[in-house]
Amino acid sequence: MTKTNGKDPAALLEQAAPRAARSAGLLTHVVEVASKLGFNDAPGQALLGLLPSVGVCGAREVRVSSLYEISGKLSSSQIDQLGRNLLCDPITQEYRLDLSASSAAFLIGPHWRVEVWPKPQVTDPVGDSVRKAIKDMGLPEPETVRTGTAYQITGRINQNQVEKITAKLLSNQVIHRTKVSQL
Amino acid sequence: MRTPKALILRAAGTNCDVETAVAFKMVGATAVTAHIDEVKQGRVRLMDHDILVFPGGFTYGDDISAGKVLANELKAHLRELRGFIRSGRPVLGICNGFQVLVKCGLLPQTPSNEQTASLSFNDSNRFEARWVRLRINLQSQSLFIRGLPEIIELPVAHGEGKFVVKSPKVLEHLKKTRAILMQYVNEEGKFAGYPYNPNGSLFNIAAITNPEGNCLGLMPHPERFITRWHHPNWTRQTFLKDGVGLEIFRNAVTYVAS
Amino acid sequence: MSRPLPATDAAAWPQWACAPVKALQDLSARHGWSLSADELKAVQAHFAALKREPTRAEVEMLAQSWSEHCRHKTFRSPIRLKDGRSTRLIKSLLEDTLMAATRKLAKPWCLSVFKDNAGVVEFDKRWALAYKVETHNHPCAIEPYGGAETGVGGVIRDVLGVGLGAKPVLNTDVFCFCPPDYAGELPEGVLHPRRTLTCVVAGVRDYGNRMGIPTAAGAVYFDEGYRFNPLVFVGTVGLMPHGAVHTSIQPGDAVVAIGGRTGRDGLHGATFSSTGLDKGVDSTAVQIGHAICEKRVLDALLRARSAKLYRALTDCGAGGFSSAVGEMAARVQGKGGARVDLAKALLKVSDLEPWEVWLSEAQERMVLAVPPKNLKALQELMAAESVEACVLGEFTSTGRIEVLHGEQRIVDLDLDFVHDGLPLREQAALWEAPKTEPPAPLRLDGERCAQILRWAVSHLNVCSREWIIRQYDHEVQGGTVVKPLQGIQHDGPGDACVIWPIAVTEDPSDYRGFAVAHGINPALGKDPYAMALACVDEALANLVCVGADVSKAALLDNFCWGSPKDPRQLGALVRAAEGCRDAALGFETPFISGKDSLHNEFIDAKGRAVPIPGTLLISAIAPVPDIRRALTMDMKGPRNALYIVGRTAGALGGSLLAQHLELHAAPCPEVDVRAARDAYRKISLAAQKGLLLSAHDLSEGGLAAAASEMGFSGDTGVEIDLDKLPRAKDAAGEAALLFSETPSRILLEVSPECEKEFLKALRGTLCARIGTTLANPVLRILGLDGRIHFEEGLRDLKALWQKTLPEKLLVGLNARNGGKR
Repeated sequence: MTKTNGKDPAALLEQAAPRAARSAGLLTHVVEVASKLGFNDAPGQALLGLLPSVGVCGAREVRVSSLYEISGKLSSSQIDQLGRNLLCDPITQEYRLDLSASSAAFLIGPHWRVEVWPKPQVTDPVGDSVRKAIKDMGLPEPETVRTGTAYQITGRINQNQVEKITAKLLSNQVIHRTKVSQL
Repeated sequence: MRTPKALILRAAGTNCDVETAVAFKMVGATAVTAHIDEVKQGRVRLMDHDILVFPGGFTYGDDISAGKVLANELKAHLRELRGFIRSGRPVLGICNGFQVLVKCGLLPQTPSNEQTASLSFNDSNRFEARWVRLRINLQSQSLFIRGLPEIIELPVAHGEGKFVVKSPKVLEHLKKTRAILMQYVNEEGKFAGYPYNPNGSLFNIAAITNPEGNCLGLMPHPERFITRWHHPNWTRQTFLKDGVGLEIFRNAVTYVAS
Repeated sequence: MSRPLPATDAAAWPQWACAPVKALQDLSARHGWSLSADELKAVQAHFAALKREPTRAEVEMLAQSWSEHCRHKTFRSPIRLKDGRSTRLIKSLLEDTLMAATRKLAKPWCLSVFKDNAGVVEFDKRWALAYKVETHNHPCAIEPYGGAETGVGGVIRDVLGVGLGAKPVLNTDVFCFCPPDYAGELPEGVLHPRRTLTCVVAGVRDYGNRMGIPTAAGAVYFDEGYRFNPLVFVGTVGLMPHGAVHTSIQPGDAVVAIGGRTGRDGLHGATFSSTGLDKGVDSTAVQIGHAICEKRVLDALLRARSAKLYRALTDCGAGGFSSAVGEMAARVQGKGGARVDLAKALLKVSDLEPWEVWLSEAQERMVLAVPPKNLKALQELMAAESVEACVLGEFTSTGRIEVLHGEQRIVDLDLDFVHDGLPLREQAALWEAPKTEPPAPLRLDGERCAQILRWAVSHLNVCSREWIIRQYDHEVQGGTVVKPLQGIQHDGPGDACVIWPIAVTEDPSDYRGFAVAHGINPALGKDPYAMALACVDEALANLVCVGADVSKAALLDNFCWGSPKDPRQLGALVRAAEGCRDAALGFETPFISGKDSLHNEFIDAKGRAVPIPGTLLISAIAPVPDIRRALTMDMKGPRNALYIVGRTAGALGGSLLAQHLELHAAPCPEVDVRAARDAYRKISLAAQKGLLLSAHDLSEGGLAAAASEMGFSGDTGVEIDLDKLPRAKDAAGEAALLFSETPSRILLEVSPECEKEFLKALRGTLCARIGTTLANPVLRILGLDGRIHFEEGLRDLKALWQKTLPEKLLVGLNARNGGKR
């Protein structure tokens, strides 16, 4: 598990995303998708209810978002098109690229962020479907697509507690790599 | 009278195609099951068929979100699909098929094919299979509901069935055009929250149609109630009705045949 | 053959010819082969005779195919059992117990038993039923979501790979977990049971639902003995035409791999599951499933089967290509054999060593034997279904398994040595009958009995499983006509499910169906012989309760045990297997398939082995001649007669009451197999004649729990007069009558109009009218003095019964690690 306490999103991204392909000409972007405010974030709610079972009672809110790490010959505007037209539901969700834009769906204030990614050799069926869908859109098929999950947690909790949540509820070190950061 | 031909479109992960075909055969139609690639390659032509069905299942694993990848794939063929719907022929999207119709913007029907509603994660945060009671909007133009009683029972089985809309205007328009075809209710026929509304759908919506009434999307599975022995309470003497789900298929076939 | 084969990693490879056994054992430990000294010596001697060194790929292949997982050494090796004062030799536990019973019964409707990937029995004159139940315990302990998914995927492929392939129509799941609210300490690396349960359920759900196979029968058993080693049993039933049951492979047929690509995932799964769990686990040993990949394979295979494009197939399970190709090679007409070139395999990553390609257990792969003339058509069909396929080589008649990687020859082994070269060693087993005390009369007043009932219905091993069952799409394929949840509110605990496979037969005018049920009761583990009889009895009783024809029931066994190296555990295993044999013979129900998972133990910090409770799962399948006569367990209404079949005995061993009252020395109940068999057949016939309204077997919590469940599922009251209960002399006092868990007892609801004919149908069977159903939803118990012993509101009991599991699971929690669905 790597840890960063820095607040620079670019640095965060650099360490967060597992780099699968980095040969010449390939760019890697991360699209993050979360429920719009006002639409129920059921996984986040469920997780919040479970925190006391690992002895964490100070959390106020948990939001869960999906991460898509796309490596290939796609331009930023093509990636943006993917976020808008494919990866995010236009009614219930919002997206952002490479942790950039903030909106109500993504926390701005101080919070803990936990990213959970499958290890490189672990099967990622969703990644396969995303590649197919990108091809269906007539865009260049990416080299790799990996999918992960981000958890944004607010409240009175410390790093130890976040790491405990990460280990006991969010991930399995056998198949996942995780990154905990304080933003 | 010629035998109507129903085209059941499948893709990787479709899994209710066979029982849907059985239902059509029971009401006298010919059921043709075709892979989406066969349609894309032009080997199977939509317009050669009288009825089009998007059956239940988990197309492409429901990856990204339910029905999304197939909806994305169909977007290149929307003109043809809209032409089929405009021709007045019955189109049926069941469960995953409903999700597909909504996510490619065919339901609710808009002039621009813009997606104005969605089927989102159940409030329970779980896939759930259960029988529900549905109140049918008997004022609707839908060709699928002729002769059905106001309250029917059908099973649902989904993790992403919560109907939501982009704005209140969309709901108003659905109401105005009598496009809300089925709503989840309790034993008394009233709106009653979970588990009667199994997913938290807005306005308890379980099924919608286009204003013309020939394109139906519904979360419940009519193909799972095509004989009385499908009902969970058929062993109780008090319940001895034939499968009401079959009537939905029969209506489509009768409509085409007449 | 004296051609030298190059070793793939020569540096770390010792000279086998002169290596001391110790050095080979170190090598085995380092590579995770789990080969014993005897086995290593056999390998050494084999290659010494060939005057060459073994390659890595060859030793890896032998280690996999000789593993406990693949070869069932414990069940096939001789066992010397010291039973009390006498000693006897069992030549092969499998041959002498389970298979012997099946052979002796010689049922003509058993079409393929104990040899293919699944057992196959007749469904009707056109169709056959294939059933297989597997375990996936070790992977589920490490990564419960992925472990459960790949367990389901694997057992589905077993059924897809039986004969020419069967279409799956039902999945079953049975779990043994530690209670989800366990508050004790757990060592690092051991997941909390709440998480294990929720993630296993999510894995079974996501894979089964995506495959479009209803998961409609199962069980969950809780005991702290599973805290380190949870058990996950997954089963699949498939339907196939009779003509697809048997296969033959011709020399010259192509070896074709289809489905998922080969990666480094799942290396050493077979040897991994043949040893105990410890802390260090390599991530390649566990996998995540890809259900849609397998669904494509299913769709494509069923089309290819109809088009008769292949002659045989099997799935890639433990041992990957090495097992699949090796097994098929042995089935080729003549001497058998296969020659493959792994350079032709489609890979996920390019840096795989050839031996890794040969051994990889990457999921969602099948191997086909294809006549060369059909290759083009097969490849076109696969492409149309987006299934990748590659021709690896051909089947031969050389009697050898030859594996190349381009120019490099990495395996050249005699098939006989691979399949029969394993040295079998005599094992020592010890059995001592447990010390028991005869039952003493229990005098508990009505209030105390009512309190025990409330405790019993909320007990984890009795309470509602609705939270789990609803997450499974148990009605996909439109054939689940008796559902796992039954009754007026669709929430009562069904004994079994009935499937009407119209999605295969496509003929709704044919009302033939089948039922599947389970028997599992590790609480009887102190007397494994009695446990085995009780498990078979329970499975059959459950089938009877949905109206199945038990005269054509077939059984599957799954043994999950600790280490067979411990003579006491092995002795208990022998007793359980002998119980299975005697039950099969007595009930005249053959075993058709089985599996064992041994070494389910945990080495704690002090180095002590903590084994699981010896666990036997019996799965049973039987035809339902007319699904319109099937039964459910919910009471249908007031003023009907309530009958009990069977005698209530005082032996309380393993019962909830014994647990509650801490009667540790209570003897385990016995099964009167003959009487039970006759009773079950008569009840089956009565059901087929339409004489019964509802039926429910008496299991955990005894009569009181069973009557409560029937009542609250039908919102119908029950009055029971305990004095009318047929009972043995040692069953004294109301508490024993209410809570005894004597096997072979069934409660039946009969309408007054049918009573006379019902009694005629059950003539010769011990059967008594013990009560009546009531409009008021209460359970009223009349004591032995004729006065009301207690009366409890059934709706209250139902609420208690329903709230336990959600409370202990803290739901709606997020079961999937990724949290997306």
